[in-house]
Amino acid sequence: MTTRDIAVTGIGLVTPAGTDADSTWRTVCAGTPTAAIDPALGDVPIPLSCRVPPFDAQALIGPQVWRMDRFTHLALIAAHEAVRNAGLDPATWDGARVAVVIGVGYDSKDLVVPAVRKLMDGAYHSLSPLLVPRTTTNAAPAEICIALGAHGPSMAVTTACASGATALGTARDLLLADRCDIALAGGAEAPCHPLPSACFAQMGALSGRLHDPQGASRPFDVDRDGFVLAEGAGVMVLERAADARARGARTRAYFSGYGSSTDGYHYAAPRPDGTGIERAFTAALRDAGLGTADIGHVNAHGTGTPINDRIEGAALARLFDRHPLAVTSTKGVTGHTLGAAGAIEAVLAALTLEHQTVPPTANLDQLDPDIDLDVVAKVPRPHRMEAVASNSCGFGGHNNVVLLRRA
Amino acid sequence: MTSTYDTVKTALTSHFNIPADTVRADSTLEDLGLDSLAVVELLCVLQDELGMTVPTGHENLKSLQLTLAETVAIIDEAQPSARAAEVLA
Repeated sequence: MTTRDIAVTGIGLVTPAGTDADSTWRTVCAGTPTAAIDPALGDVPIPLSCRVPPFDAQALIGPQVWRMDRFTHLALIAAHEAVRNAGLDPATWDGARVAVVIGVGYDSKDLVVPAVRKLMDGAYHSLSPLLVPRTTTNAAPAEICIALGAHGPSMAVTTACASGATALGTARDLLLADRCDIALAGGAEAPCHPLPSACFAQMGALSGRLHDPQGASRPFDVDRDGFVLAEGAGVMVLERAADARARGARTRAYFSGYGSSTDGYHYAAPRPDGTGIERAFTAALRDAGLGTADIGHVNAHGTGTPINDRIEGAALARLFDRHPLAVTSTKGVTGHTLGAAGAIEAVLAALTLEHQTVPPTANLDQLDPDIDLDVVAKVPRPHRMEAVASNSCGFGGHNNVVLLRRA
Repeated sequence: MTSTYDTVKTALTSHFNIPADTVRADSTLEDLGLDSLAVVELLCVLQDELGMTVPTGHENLKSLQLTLAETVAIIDEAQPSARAAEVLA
């Protein structure tokens, strides 16, 4: 442990694989895909999604649930779980020293689209006065701060599908700069709506495997054809390791390194040579004082699009050059939760490290021969690991790597 | 109480999750936990989702000190059936 080590003392997840961290972990380890035909997507070209199992939002959040959009519901549920898991009591903490950083990529369209219809009809007086505070991306951190009495720095960060990872890195920097003593950080997204679904389909980013919904999300498989839109949230409670030790908290992992880079190349496509991903990894390793040989596992971005997986796969193969690296993409189970993905996958990486078990990549029947990696398939693999990484990439060329060490 | 009262109560309990046993005719909007934005939201729900005619420009309607009975009376006055009754009278 170093003075720069940050302890992960609490985790919270709400994903298509489960409404808490334990159930999500079990489903991810079972390799059970969650993609299904989604009637709520109507007659869009590809009505597939991965939805969070039904939950009682009012019971989990409280009576004010009506004023929040779905991505905020998900963020709050994950935050509540993470705080409970950390053994913290918001009634007794010094809220002025608690920060909240939540990554949100695209916000929700559930409220915006009907409002636009009203606008087009000239129905100005029936527009909700809460449309703006409910749909701005900072709604999630704002409502977490209200619910938990957090009064330190708070913000939403957005780097598209890397937003959750960027939030974790930003929160870590706040702790290292002594701007707070506790940070709740993660990501949330609720994009399962016809508008983003149709637009991602127009981009050619979605799997069109309508005849086999469960097989649609198949990262690194030779027959992959795109991702499946998914919703979810993941939150970590972060503290300086010395503070966590002083209060007798259980440390689940150390957040030891963070690396960030930007391709500066294209608004949607990753840089073909993958050097942006390599730079982010190199920065994270340098930050942690580790080498590639120290990393036993990478939870890859692994969207299941032909281009992402090939470029990310090549970058990882170059970086790790035959070190015994067990790679997985948990998106095979969860689908792609966009701005939440980096946080959800960092939590799953922490659990991977804790359990010394790498979850399988669902639907990986035949590894793409162009991908020279040891990708775990079919069944979870027991694996000795002292450090792991979670990689995230976002439209616009954002690359972020969260590096965790064993507690 | 009128059916308008029941409709408003339904909006308060179903949209705002306010327990039904706390919704009373003499409760003020503030008593029910609504703030000024939530009152406007309530009026939008009434006119948009429940099809009521709501005089959103009424100078008193956005006061948090109105009781539910007073709110219902203002809305009742604006209903087409009430206006028709006035014309016929």
